[in-house]
Amino acid sequence: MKIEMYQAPQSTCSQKVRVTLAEKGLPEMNKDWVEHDVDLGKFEQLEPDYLKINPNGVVPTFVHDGTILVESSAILEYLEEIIPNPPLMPDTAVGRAKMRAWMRYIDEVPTVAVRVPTFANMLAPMRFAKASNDDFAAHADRLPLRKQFYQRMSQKGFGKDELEYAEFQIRQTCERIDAAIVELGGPWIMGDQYTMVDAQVTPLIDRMDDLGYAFLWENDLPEMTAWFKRIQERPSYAAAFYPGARISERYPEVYRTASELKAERGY
Amino acid sequence: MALELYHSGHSTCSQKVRICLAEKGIEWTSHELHFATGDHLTPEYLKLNPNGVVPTLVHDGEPIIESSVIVEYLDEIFPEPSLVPRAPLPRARLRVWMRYMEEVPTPAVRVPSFNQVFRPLRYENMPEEEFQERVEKLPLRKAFYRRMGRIDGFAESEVDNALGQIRQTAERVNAAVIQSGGPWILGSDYTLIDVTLTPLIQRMADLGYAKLWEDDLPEMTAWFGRIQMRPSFDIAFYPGTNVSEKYPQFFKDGDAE
Repeated sequence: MKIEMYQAPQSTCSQKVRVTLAEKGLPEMNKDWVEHDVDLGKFEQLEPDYLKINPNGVVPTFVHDGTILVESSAILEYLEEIIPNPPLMPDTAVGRAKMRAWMRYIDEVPTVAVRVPTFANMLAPMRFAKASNDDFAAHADRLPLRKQFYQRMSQKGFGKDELEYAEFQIRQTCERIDAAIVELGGPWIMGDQYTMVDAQVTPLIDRMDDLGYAFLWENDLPEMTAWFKRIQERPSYAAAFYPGARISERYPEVYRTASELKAERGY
Repeated sequence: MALELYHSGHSTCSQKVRICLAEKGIEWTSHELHFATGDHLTPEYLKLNPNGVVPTLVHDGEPIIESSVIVEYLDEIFPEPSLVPRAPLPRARLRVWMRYMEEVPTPAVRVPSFNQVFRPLRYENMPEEEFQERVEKLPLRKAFYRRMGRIDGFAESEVDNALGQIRQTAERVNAAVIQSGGPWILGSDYTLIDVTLTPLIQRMADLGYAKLWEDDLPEMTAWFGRIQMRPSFDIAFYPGTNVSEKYPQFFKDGDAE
């Protein structure tokens, strides 16, 4: 079985698949699976050759014995089917449905929300600060998905309202994780079994932590805080977040913490 | 075994589940919710569905939420007739399509739906304060309502984008039917992606946007023609479930533009 992945170290959706690969016993990049690095800073994900394998123009793209698969959440379910052990899914239909409802929530709410501070605090000023309005609009136009995301932002990123709403969405996610652990007894979101929803949400919480937003849960959500600590102690965490994979390490020259930016911008 | 569905006649996500139930030939009990009276935001309903949206399926007392998850659950507990391919790879391809359907056309369809019908119907004459309070109460999608605004609706650029997304969806269906040989999106078997795209395309047609595919996407057009001939279509879209029938006052000239 040969597994390859077109990916980027700092992409949360790539990280999600890396965490799952490690949990399935394939932790090591370029040994257990082969990396094809896609340089998002050079917009390699929008080059015609890449669009041929991934028409959505995003990472990751997963290749299993030559067969191409896109969409990180669909990739996680596929991994479960081809490598059933250890299982990352409940063994009853109701349990699976409850886990999949969580996965839909993670896809719809925090996945989208995390992009807002990521772009506002780091990527937009780094990539677009010198772009003219026309160049910026032309870039948005090249994207097969998520044009609107770019159209809601300017070259400087997002404003106060969008950032505050993103914080609200992450806070809601953390409250739900905290409540799920209280209700089901933990230590994981679905109870005593570590499942793919734990893997799926890990890179999003890690990104918020990396950007300096841990205050959203550390002050008053002890179960959420303890869950994230347990996550970081799993071997899959170190495997997926190898040196240079966190965005602060990838782009140290533009990295600023949330509190530094809040002091300056007021939000 | 009892299957109950909390749903709304004209909600596209409820329609997805009703089509699936009809395709499976399953009996179910209906609890119809009315958004105008805030049935979806009562404490009792939020206990079943913390997101405050329809539908919710309750199976022997267990609530199952999220329409895509519900249809996959129904396929697991009622395997015949099967609506999911058996082998891992085609199953993964189905899930990729489902993710695309959720990310792109599902939110896109809300834009013209709210602009043309739900905003003038429910919000235009609501005092601004009450509108703000209602938006604050929504567990999901507050930002959607804020972008819409009570009076002006979505900006032209948002509408253009949404129509662009529906067009992209129709192009992808057209190409998939050509590539797979049809008659369905994944080939010879009718699957959950045919189920879940149907209400979105039906809504766009109902709002007057069939021209987005009818002029130059013959395979897409023929696919939708076949969809409408399946018995599940008439069962799921019972009288009064198209917004044009339910709210004819917003369809005076029979065309969206």
